[in-house]
Amino acid sequence: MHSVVLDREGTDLVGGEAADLVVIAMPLYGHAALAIEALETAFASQTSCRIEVVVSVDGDPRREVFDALTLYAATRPELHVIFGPNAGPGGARNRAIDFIVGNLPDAKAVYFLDADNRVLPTTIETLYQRLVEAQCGWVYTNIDTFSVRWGAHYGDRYSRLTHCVSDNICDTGSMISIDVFRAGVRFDADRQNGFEDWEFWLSCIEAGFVGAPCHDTAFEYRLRAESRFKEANRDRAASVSFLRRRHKALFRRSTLVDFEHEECPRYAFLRTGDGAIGCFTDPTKPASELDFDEAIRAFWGSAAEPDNVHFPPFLAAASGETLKLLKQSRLWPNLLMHLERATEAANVVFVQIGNATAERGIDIEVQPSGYVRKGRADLVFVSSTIVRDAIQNDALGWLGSIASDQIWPTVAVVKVRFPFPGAAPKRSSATPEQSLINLVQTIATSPLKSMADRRWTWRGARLPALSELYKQLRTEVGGAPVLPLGQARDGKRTLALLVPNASFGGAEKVAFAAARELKAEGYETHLFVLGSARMDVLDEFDGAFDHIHFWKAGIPAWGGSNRFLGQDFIAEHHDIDWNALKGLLSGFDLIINNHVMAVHPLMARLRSEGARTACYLHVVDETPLRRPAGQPFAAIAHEHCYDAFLACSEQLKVYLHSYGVPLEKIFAVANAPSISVKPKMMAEIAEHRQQRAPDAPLKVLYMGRFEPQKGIDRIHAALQDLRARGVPFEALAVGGEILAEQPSSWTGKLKEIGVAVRPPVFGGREIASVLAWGDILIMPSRWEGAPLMIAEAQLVGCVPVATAVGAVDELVTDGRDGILIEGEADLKIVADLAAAVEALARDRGLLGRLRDGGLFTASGRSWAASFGAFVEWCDQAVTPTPRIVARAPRRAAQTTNNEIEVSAVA
Amino acid sequence: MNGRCDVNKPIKSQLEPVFPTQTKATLRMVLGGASDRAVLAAGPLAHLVTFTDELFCSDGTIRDVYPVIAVAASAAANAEVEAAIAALAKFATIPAPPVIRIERDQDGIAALIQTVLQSGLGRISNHARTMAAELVMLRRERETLFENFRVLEDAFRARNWEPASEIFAHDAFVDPKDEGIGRLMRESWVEQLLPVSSFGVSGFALHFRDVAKGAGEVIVTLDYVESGEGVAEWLVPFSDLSAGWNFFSLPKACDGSPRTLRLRVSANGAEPPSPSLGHPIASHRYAARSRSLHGDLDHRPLAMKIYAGVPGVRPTALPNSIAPSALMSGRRIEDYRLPLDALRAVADVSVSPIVPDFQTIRFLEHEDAIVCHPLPAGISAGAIANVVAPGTVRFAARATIDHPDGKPARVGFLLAPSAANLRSEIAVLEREGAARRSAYFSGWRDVVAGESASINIMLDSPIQRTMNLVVLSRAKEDSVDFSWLKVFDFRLVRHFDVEARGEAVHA
Repeated sequence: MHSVVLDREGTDLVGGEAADLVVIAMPLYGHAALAIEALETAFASQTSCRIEVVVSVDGDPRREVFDALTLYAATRPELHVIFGPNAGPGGARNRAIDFIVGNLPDAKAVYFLDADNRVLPTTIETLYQRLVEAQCGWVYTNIDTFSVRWGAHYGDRYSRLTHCVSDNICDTGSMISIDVFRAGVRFDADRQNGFEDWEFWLSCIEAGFVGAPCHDTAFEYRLRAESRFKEANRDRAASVSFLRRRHKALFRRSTLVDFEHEECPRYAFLRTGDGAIGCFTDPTKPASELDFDEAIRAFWGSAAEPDNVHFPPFLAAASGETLKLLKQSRLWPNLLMHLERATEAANVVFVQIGNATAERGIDIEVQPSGYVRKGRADLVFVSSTIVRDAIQNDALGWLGSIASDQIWPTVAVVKVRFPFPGAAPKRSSATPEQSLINLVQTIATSPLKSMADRRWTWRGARLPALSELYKQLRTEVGGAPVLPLGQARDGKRTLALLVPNASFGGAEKVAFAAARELKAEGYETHLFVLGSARMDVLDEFDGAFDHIHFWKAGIPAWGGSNRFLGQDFIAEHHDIDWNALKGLLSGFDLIINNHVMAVHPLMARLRSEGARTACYLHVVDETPLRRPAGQPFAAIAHEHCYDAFLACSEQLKVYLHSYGVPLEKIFAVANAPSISVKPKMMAEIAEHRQQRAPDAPLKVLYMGRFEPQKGIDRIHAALQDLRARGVPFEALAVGGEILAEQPSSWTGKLKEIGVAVRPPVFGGREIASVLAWGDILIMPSRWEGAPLMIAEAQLVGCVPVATAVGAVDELVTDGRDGILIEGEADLKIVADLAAAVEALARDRGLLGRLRDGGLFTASGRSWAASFGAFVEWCDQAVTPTPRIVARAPRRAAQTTNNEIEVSAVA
Repeated sequence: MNGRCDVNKPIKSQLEPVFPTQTKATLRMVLGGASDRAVLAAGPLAHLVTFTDELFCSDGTIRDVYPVIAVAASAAANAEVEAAIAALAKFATIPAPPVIRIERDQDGIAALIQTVLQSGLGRISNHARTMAAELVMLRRERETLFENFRVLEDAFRARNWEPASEIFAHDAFVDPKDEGIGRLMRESWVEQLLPVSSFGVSGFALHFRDVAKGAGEVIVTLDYVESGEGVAEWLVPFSDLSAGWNFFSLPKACDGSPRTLRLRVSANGAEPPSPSLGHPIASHRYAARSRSLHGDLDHRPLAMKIYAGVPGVRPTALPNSIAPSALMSGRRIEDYRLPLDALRAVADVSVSPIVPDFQTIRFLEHEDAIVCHPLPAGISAGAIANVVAPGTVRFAARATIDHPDGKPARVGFLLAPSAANLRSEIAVLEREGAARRSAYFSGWRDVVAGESASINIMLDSPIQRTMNLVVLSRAKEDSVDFSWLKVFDFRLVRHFDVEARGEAVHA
């Protein structure tokens, strides 16, 4: 300790420099008889700092307060008193803070001392030194109360996650850096807020400050039988709800996961080969490294003092190559969620990775005890609880069988497949199973095991176990498991695009196009395939997503637990895996629901948490009895949950408006081609068409499913008629009979009349090639939205001949860039279709004009233009979750020396 | 002072105010109307008055203003003052000050007010502050007495006079690789936090691996981590320690608020006994630690047992009971070393008729030691200025003749006031065989080649001010050939008070 000397102006000097000024701020109301005691202890502080005290009298009606303070102030130049009308504890503290910031510019820190509490002589010095050393926002102590005895240990290290999701872990009797107040942080003066102290710390966290515990000192907390704290706790739910509303950004999934990642990571990843252990929650962020020794200490420390020591609740082992591959797969965060869930169904989880060129998918099988393995695992995943149980129950042999052929723990085998270049990852000589067992054996035989059942910290634990915080996070988010992703890099906004399946349908392609445009705008894009565990790889859109997620279990494609205008919709009491859905979808900045019916009931909650929500609709379906049905009605039933609707046509926009959706909320997005054709290929196609002989048979093309909705029966009848009348044409039908509703095969019938039939094609280049073959594309559908195929046909000079259903007339202008067939009667449509084909077969000049018209129309289409208005809305409406970056006060670190410096005492 | 005070026992703080009597020169206790500004600003109340137009800050509060009286020299000012008093009423805290009209006898009344506020009120304030300090002390004592009374009452009712209950035990664990921490205790100290609340602790036991061979003392201190207050200190000769468990008793169980107890174990003497360590634990905080790294201490606490119960009673299973040498009762204990810079600056203040042709006093850079070579006549002396801090109660060091053929010598230490003439002090010592009353002399101790001797100075009371340390040597025999006396391992212990009320200078 340094002694203090005074210069001529009375300024305390240490080593010739002015001592740091620490201000003790004391709000005063209702403690007239105790305040002087608090002041006495404050001025009795033994410290190298200068001390000033600011008492903020909060309209206390006791005259004793004025008399006592006046007498006291008369002898204490370092005492400042502010009198003001009653403003509540927050308001009174704010007055003191404002005074300090405005009038004591050299203050370095503020200590809040309640008027009924006391400080020890060393409290201020110890806390201030710790503040300087830790370079943190504030330093807090454990709490020991007097009068009514109570004590609390608030952890050996500070955790923002704990502070946010469990309880207030810092009393206001803490040493706070002046930087906190200079950054504008203040108490909330709202009297509705029963936890103004907790709220203040949350504001500090939000402003980027962090705390640090100091167990080397304490203050004396007077506890009586009844207190304001008790009063506030009686209405805890309301107070906590107030905090959540006031600090929405803090309670976003991404923010909390970032805290978890830094403070109590969920996963420990053991790298086979070098044995390094990386701890992380967000697999896209750098992991913290643990060596074996540290891991063992953390394991047993966590067992003995779970509130002080953290060991990740899940343990994985795999080679570095496997980890690299999984990171590249874009499935890694989603896979981790599946692994967490799988540990609830099985003791151990194996992951097997497969290379699939054209699809992605995750399949899970659970095997009973005694399972004989088929192939080695690329990755092993277990919960730390299983490891702990195995050690404590002397069941290491049981757990160790995971490295043998027959496995006695129950096993979940997670098969994940995705395209990756080259051969399967190089396997490490050490298998993941054996590496994991080695670690467990090492832990089990550590000498620390013998002392693991004893707590050495004598104050009772008041905090939840750090290793269990992931469960508190689940509760906070309202979902389980919680997507292990923190905030996006570079402050990007995040988009979640939800689809019920990801194959080659037009609705998916359009939604993918939306994601592609938003990614180009700087969004981090996530594709959620909900209700399915696979997707086809679309080369055109494969790069549109930064992450891909699947969740199949517990999410039906359709269902009705209630009705809206006679239409089914899923309500909240439906037996859906809401936990998984909420855990997946919480925390995104923008969510676009593209026909996932099960998600509608969640949207209101997601929106209230800060997400902007949009619903993408493509078509009004019809039942066999021609009742309008489908996704739009479930969406309209949840209209208030969405900030925006995207419709594929003006027609659908008006339709939605007719059901009460405000026009301003609806963006009509004209469809554009889902394929791109390079100029060279375009030139080749044009040249090929010009070289065709004028009298060559007309090439008639159909692409799509062979089903009544698409008018396959009409196509058959029209082509049969044309054949009968000897119109020269060649026909090609590309597609398949996907729906097994037809009584007989259309493939066979088409072949009977000389139509070539080919299976469906999905690659952009293949689609373009097929369209380039055809002179015309026929599409006599019974209902449609705004089919992409028309735009794609026009793009390559294939003339569309289509029924004017849905928004087809927004894509085709009859006689300019295609031919529209009006009406509903099948006979008329068949006749008109045949007539149109015949006209084009005989009049190649007309064909040429329509082709040119189509090319011209196509040249004006682009997704960028179509999504322009929506993207502009997003720019204004969607804000990224504020990034909480921990910062330290800008003060040069001072070294401390435990030794007495003689020069200071002499 | 009236008779009533005379019969009461004087309280230290009343008689010896640690702060000079001081009234805040700028305490604004007079409220004046803005219209009277010119009049009052020129009068005796100028530095005491706050005018109505500057009373309230922009946020509606008043700051560092204590309106105990209001004055008005004009009707306009009177109205302003009344309005301000009405506004103050909204605060609820400040009673309406009386308004004194001072038109006629302006200077006389104002001077009177000034005198009352600055002189009378100042005195009362000082007295009130003293009373406040006493109040704090008495309240704290009352709390402790109430709590202790209740514990006694409960124990009495329950007839629960368990002599000593073991409330925590961590057994000794012998790791074949252990080197023992005896050396560590000699060079520094070993610190161990007790993993129990201090409340009710009446003693503890430490386990020693074996009995020490040489002479020396083990020094054990117990204090509270949170407040730094000392509890007790044990100075135990090696011979009083037995192999196995040794019980260190407290004459009074720890009371007051529950706190963390910190044990520090150090030793002087050549080969101190080594306290045993227990099994390793995961908690870093509760592992034993020292200033220097030591392999044995890796995540291992001291083997220990902690007891609660009737103070001073030896647990039946333990062979001995060691009473504290001192109860610290609120004092802090600090074990400190001399800084190298001070050692480097050692000055030759020898008093001898012989002028040697070599340097008798110097600092050994890599050994952190002082060489003090004796001369055939007189006293060789090396002074280390201003290094002994106020509060120091013990001083220890070791000495040896650092040459195999070195002749024996005598070593001693002198603590002398900073302002003293050191050569004069040493001359007195040489002449009279004793130091002046203002200094402390350790006495002479023989040192021979190849053996190190421990030298201790135990003071009856802590020194009051900073002092110089002088290393002394003189010849034991006729010859001082190769008598390279080397002094090292300087170690000092000081006590200083930690009291609940203020004595620090912040004025």
